[in-house]
Amino acid sequence: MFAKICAAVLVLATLAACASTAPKPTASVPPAVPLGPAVPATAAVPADQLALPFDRYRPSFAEESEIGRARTVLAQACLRERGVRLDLPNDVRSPGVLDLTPNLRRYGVVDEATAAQFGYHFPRTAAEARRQWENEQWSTSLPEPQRMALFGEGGCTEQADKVLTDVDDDFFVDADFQSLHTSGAAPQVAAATAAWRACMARQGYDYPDPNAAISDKHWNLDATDIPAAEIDTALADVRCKTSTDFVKTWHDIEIGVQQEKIRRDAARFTTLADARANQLAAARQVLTN
Amino acid sequence: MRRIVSGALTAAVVATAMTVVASPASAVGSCSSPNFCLFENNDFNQGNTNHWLDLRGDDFDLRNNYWYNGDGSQSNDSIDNETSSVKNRRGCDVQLWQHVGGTGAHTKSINGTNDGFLENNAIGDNRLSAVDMCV
Repeated sequence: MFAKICAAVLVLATLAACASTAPKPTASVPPAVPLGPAVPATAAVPADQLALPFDRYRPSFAEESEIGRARTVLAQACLRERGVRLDLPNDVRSPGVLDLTPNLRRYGVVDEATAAQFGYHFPRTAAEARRQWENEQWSTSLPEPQRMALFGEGGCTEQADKVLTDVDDDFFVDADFQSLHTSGAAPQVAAATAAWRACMARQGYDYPDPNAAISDKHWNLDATDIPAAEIDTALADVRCKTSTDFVKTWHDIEIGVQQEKIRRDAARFTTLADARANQLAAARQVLTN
Repeated sequence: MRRIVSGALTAAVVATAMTVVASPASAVGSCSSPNFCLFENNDFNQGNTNHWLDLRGDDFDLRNNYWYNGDGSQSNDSIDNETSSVKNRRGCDVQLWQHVGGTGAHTKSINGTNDGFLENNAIGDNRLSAVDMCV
């Protein structure tokens, strides 16, 4: 039985405890990223305020975690059967900001706390940044034979889906991108955008829409430093979104678009839901064995 | 051995800076770990122009990334909104974001998987402008 690795979590303590031939991280320098407070993530915006009909067709954080753990179990078994000595990190992690509110950044930056701390940079807690860095270090430093056994063509990661039953969600991903596009083109959203633009102009900003603001080429969204100008702009952006009901307007429209899509393609959504349920059941079977 | 084009592969940089990997040449559709591989055309460029890019770190603005040619030379064609297929050999899951900064719609590329047809004709190529590694 094999499993695909879902190396989403790499806790330092777990690495240290692994009695394996896996290489240790090559450096102990913590990532120089804009870090949030060293506390567990909390919801920047309550998830229910941004909930959408499509959400129930995605795995929840807890379900994704179960599937990830099952993949790890299966991959580990596969490696053993192939005589490859490599202990895999446990797939256990606390929910991050996006896990708590999956649609948090769907309409751009929407809350003042995030804007004040991160500007337009992607928000990460200290724990998330460290886990990401450790993941990257671990996967990058794998010796070639182990890497191929794990990630190569026909490797143990590839075998996992055969056990867990892969979910074909291409139509759902397309529908998800399309619903944002369609709802964004609605006249109500256009009006809200115009109101946002006027609000920003009153504060001295000249952007046609929020996406233009975050895409301003003055920002380097991959840099560690976050200039005050970026934070100020992001704050103005959020405040204008709030005062013009920009997010609420777009969100309300998109709810209708998604409901209609689900209604029109009911059979496909049912098939998707069944596939997800089957995958989760397979994962739980692996975990209980 | 792949040559690191930009950004020293240090712990202080990896988590935040784009890490692009270039090679003297790349066979059509090839992708070796620990890379996350992007292709301009469907089906990993099979039967089409071999424009590719391998990433190892976050990149929240793909507008300043340019496709590499099959011979390893860099083109002047920005990859923003042009990615049509991906292969994930990064060793971890990767979040693909529609817009710069990690906003808009998003979808996750599970470690070890391929997606040969990201392009959606209904909305054109406006699919991928930011990449979040090891989520």
